Amino acid sequence: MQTYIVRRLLIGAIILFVLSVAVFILLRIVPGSDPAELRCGLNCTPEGIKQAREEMGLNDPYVVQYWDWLSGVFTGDLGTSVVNFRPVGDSIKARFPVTFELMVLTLIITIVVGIPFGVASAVWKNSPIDYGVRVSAIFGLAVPSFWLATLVLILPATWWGYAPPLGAGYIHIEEDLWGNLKQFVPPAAVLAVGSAAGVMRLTRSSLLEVLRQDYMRTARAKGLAERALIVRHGLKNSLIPVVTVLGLQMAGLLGGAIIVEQIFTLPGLGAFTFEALFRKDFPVVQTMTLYAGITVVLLNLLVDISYAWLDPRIRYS
Amino acid sequence: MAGSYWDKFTKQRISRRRALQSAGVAGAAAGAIWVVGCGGGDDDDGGNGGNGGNGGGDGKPVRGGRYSVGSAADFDTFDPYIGIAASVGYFPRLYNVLVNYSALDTSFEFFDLATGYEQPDDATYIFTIRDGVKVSPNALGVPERNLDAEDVVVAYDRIKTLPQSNAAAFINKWLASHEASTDKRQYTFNLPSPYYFFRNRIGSPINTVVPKEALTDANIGKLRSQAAGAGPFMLRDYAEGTGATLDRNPNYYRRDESNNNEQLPYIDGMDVKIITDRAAIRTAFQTGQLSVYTGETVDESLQLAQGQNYTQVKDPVNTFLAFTMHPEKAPWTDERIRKAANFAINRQEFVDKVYNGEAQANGIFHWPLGDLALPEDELEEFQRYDPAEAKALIRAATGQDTVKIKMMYPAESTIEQHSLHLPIFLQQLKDGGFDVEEDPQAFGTWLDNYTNLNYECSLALNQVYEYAEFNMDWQHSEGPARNNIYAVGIGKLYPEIDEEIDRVKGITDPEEFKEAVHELQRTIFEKGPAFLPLVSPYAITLYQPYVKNIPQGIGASGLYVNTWWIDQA
Repeated sequence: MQTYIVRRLLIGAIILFVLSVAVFILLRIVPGSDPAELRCGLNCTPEGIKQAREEMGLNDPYVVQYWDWLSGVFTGDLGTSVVNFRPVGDSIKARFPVTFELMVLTLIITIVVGIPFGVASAVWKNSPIDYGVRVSAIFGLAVPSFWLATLVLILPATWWGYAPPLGAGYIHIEEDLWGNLKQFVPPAAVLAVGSAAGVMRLTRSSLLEVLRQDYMRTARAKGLAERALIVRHGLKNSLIPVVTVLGLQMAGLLGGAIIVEQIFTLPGLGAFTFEALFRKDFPVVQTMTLYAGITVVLLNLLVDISYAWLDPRIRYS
Repeated sequence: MAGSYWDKFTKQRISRRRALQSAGVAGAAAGAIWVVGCGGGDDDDGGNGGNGGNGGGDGKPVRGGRYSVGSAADFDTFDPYIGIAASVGYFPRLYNVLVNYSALDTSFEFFDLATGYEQPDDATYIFTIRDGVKVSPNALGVPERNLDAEDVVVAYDRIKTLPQSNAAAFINKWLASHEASTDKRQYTFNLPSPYYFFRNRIGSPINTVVPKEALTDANIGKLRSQAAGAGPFMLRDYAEGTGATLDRNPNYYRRDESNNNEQLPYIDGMDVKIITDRAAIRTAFQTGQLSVYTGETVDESLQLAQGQNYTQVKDPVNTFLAFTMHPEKAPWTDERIRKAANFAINRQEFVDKVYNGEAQANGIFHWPLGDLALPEDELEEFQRYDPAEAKALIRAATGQDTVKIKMMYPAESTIEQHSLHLPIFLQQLKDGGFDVEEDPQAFGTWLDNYTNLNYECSLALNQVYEYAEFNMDWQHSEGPARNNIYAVGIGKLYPEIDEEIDRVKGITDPEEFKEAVHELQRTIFEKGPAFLPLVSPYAITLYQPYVKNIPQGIGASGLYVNTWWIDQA
């Protein structure tokens, strides 16, 4: 297992390297506003822009620029924002808890809603419950999160004059639990709609598959209670594809969080990345891409490791 | 300010109008503001003339309460000499100017750090520095002392060293020399020659005075997230992406003479919330989380106000879309083609279809600038909608019925109703004999090309122009910021236009200036302008009913007036 993890981490490092190089180059070749012009600001003369380019190291060969940035990453210096001159590391540190909490809450809602309803749908196949779950799942998959987020924001405000705290900054859970939940549950629920729908459908199909297996019939013939049969033998064995999808969904949610954080005014990494992309804030975009890459690599590793727990027959070498 | 507009778009994609409007009670980019369904009449701003508030039925001022503002843009810095976007609207809250004049209400003057000035000649201003303009408590270690003339000298000297400073164009061009008197109670500003817009420039938020201790090497970097000034408020904290909290400056010098010399401001503070999504800002206002909201359109504001007790302030907006033609690229080098474009545009159609009648056509100077714009009847002649005349001009210039043009525009912009203007505009050009090859571009690409004049013509987004200097400079060969950026002025073709613009700027008598400005516009129309502002709309700003004594009729000068209060009883 250890060898496997080390090997996966090495492969992950290579992936991250390729990713960072690609983003680094793409950012520099796409047309658009020059970051040196941005830094130089209003009334900037061509000399001023030249000076800004020099200060930002944009005149150096790409290899040198890339190495400067990468060595900074390893030494904890993530650079300074082109736009507001603030250290990127400080910004990430301040915003990470917001996105992390949003992701965790989304994951919880996805699991709590997706798996039980998926199980119910499989167990009571072709019943009204099953139809209800399947229709809901299709709705959840079809509705884009930005649209749902806007509705969740606007409709309660119009009907009942209620909205979650907007522009209130990060309400820390340890300071104000109720305020924190008011702030995070609506966006997490919006993000979870799509992923829970996917998990519901997958749980249903996967569990149906398992329920048809011979060993399930044997267990039932031995007189095992239906609940134990489904939970202990059926559900656990059907979870491998679900866990895989959950891992992928969590990685994909980083993208969804960009929009949802904007709409619900959560000062997280999603909104931060979006602004940086728009402003061509090189150091921020590069760092955030690396961060997203690391998240995906680690989530995938975690998913792979979890297989061994879910199915003891799986061995890594 | 033209540059800051585009920097701002690049950074935040909101209009400066919104940044400023959200910054204060004033509805900052306003022209003639009036209150609908709220007490009228004028009220004093605290002793310096002008009409700083709506007064009237708002009753006796109440102390306390906090004012919540949504800002679609984040603060980039609290250094007024390099700050743009949201920050600019808050510099008047934190710092002081020598004096501020409203470009919209010429009777309004707000002496702040200066109590007055003398003018031994047209190019010299000697300001008397007010005693008791005391720095607020702050985290930068700046002593709570009174500002003096030396602070002004240090501040403006610093601008000179910053080529990127918003104020650099003004200071570098118009500050010939300056000095503080020995007792530091007088500050002298020497211009190289008389300059009509001096009063507008010196009172701008980007020329506010920061105490010299805050501009030391040790502190300058800290201005990214901290501030120390002697303005009405002090910065308690700022969190990137979240917002800023401003508290009342207990040292603020100003008192309300009309209310037992009560110290201003009345409110305890302002909470500036960074809310980038428009629907979220509106929702936050609807649910009482914000004190103020400006609708995207008049209709939106009216709809939102239905059945509510909001105070409505309707004002003309100093912003517009413009058609820009590169005067050195064919076919726009020919004045007949430029004039044909002018006659092909039916400005009233934009007024009716884009703004539901809540807008007016612009000339070379946009109409919210008041009587500096040409009278309506004259404009109707200079820029009449006459596609037949447009076609005749094209035929005369090319010998053909149509002329082929390539027009770029930002493809994905919804700013200032751009997407609604575009199809109408394209149809009008077609009807006027233009065979348009469309060139939609991603915003960043468009901006790059627009900035560097890498295009033939464009339907362009433009910014707030609160005073007429920018309208004039758009026609100048060096462009609106006089740095050759965005420079499509026909001064490139007619040096006499450049000379006339510079001459007019040197006229200091208001009446004479107005006449000269009118004459300048006539000359430009006769030569075929390459920069055509289309229409400027109205906007309605909504305030929660508890916001009282809203400054009105003074535009951005409202940011300096702190006689408003909150009454949530």
